[in-house]
Amino acid sequence: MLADPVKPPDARRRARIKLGLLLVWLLTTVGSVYFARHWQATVLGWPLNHWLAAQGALLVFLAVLLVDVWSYRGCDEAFDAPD
Amino acid sequence: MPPTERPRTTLSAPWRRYQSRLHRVLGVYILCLIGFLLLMAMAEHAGLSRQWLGAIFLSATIGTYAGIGIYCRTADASEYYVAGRRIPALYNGMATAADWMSAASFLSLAGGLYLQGFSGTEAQAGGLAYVLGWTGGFCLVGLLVAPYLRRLGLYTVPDYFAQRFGGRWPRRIAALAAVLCSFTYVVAQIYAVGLITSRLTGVQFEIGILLGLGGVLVCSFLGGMRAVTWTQVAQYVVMMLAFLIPVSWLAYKQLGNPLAPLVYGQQLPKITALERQLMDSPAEQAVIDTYHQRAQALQIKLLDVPTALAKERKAAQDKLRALNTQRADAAAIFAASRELAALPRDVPTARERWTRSLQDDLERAKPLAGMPPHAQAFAGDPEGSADEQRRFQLSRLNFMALVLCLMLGTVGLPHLLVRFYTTPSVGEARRSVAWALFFISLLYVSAPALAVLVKFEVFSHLVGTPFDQLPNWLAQWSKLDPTLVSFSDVNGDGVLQLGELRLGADIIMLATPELGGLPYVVSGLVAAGGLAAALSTADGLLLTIGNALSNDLYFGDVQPGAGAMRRVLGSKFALLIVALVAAWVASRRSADILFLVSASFSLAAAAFVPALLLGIFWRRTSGPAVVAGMLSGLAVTVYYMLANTPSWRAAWGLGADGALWWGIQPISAGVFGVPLGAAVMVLLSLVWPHRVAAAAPRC
Repeated sequence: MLADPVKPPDARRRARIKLGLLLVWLLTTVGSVYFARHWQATVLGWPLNHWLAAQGALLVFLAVLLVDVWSYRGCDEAFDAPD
Repeated sequence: MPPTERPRTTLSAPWRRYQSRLHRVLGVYILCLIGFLLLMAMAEHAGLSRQWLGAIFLSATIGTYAGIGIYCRTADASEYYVAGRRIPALYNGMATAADWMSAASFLSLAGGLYLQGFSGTEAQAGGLAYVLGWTGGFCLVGLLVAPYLRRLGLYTVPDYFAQRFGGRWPRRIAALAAVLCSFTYVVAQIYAVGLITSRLTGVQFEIGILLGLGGVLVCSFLGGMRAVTWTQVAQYVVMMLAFLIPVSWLAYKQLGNPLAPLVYGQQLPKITALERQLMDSPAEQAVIDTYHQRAQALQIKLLDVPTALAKERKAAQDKLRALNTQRADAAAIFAASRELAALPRDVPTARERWTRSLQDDLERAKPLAGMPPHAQAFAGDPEGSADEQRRFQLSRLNFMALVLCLMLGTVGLPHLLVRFYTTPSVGEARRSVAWALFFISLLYVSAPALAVLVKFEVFSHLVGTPFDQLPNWLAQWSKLDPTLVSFSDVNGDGVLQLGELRLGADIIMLATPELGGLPYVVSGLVAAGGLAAALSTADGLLLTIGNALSNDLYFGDVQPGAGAMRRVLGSKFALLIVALVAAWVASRRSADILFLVSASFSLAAAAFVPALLLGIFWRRTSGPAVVAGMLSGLAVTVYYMLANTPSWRAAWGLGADGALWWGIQPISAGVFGVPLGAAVMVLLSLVWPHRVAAAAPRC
């Protein structure tokens, strides 16, 4: 449904960015959980593992979405069919 | 609030004028809300009773939501189903956040973090898994699903299945799955509505349900998605104020800085130190020993239930007879006969009751009242004995499975996806996912802070208080509902130990204002926030179920040629019926509701995620393959949940121990359903020849 015949030139670049973002999402999710017991360091008064799972990961998720929005700048509007 | 003009692109001048008008309305609304709170605070200071404060809070908030519903009433199909597709990204983000955060997020999340710490145990994963799972899923929604669905210009999620795969069955299965996973969810919301309204005003639970239902119905019935959207924006503001005021106050009180999420980390090492102290305390040990003794006595009784029951009955009868012959006073005789009547009626009842109290006592005979150390990730110990290593691995595995299920469930829940149909463009849909995650994160970074601050307050001030000096709110809440708070002097030293205090998950949020010593107005605001959370989610869910039943099942199948007016009427009718059925189910107060809510995430993941993702990104995905994949994914998920539910096993005469696969708890059954469904879809699509539907333009 998406793989349409006419692709704008930078579709490939956006697809690469999207794959990279998915990888970041996966690494953040798995990393903040899987090694939580082993990362016992304290940074600026915070236990690192707790901070990562409770706040750090959320910031990364938000950044992932913002980069995605940025990579589509000016593109969606050009293709929007008013309904 | 909505304008009469229909802006065509998000860059035009009318669109900008429309947005700045919305900003002004929102600003005035927030100012009014703060003014109302100050007015209430003054009224309380002047001596207005709590009963009246509660009633005013209830009627003012529900009245506001109903007013928005009446103002936005509509019979137009595009307005009713997708709010005319002109909700700006920022406001759709707010509405999505309110839609997403249910009573469970608002009331139970902080409480769950308080009870379960970082990760829960190997038998019950939880804690930060909910924070991660309920936010990380939005990355998948934004990157892979929402913009592509918005591009197609549809009304419902099952519409997508009809358009992409053709035929009747894909849409039918999708509509049924949407009803299945939304209905259990809506029942829990209405239950929460009844609970909060009855507490806020003192009316009966059933009347509380009806009051809340009135607010929901006026809004979604009259105005559909348009009214629901603007109500959700209003409810989001109430929720945030209600959550952030008590958290900020506690943080200011403990740490001198109201920005709780930035500073609460300092309390974690202190809590760990307090936990160590409590574990070494002889008084706590005495409480634990008492529970162990009670458990041993019960174990002996359970060895031979008929004899033990006969012995207890005989003892009670002898006592009554002795009192009668001694001509003791009436109160003593009455107490003795009550004691006799309270004994289990027969052997099975006795066995069930004693087994339950045995489990209860064993549960409470653990250090820290059964709570894992707050800062420790996962149960067990990776460097400990073989059993501890096993517990560690199992705990970590279940935590990750739960995170995965909650994330995939986010991608699959239809009431969430349909929110992104309401933006004016694909780009706005993309931006609104980011806004939604931002607005949700505001609460989700504060919930762990609240859990830590409350825990510090309880450990350092409440524990060790003599029983006759305990604060009033403890007794008041425990009188209202003993499952929320209960305490008793188990070891008889007249001082409260941690092991003697039992807090339910919901009480943490509800009692925070009182714990922090804030005026009753803030307690009323917190209850109003919980109500807003439940109502906003119930609105979105009811609309989704009504539309699935009417638009997708009835008009999609039975009467495909019906006009737009009739479709809207049919959807409104279905919504009314569903609301009444859900209220009836909620009023029966079934105990399994909480489990059903968590289960709906696994169900949504198994039903929708493989079909949505493969349908969007793989041209060869075919209709029959999707039907088979959805059914097999759902079947395996439902089977795994039922096969491991104790009550279900008992009903079928199976053994008490479930058959867990790799030790995964049934709440995360979606981790089996999703891959199986995807595998079936891929295999059958490769085998089954099919036509490719027309492609939409993309970039």
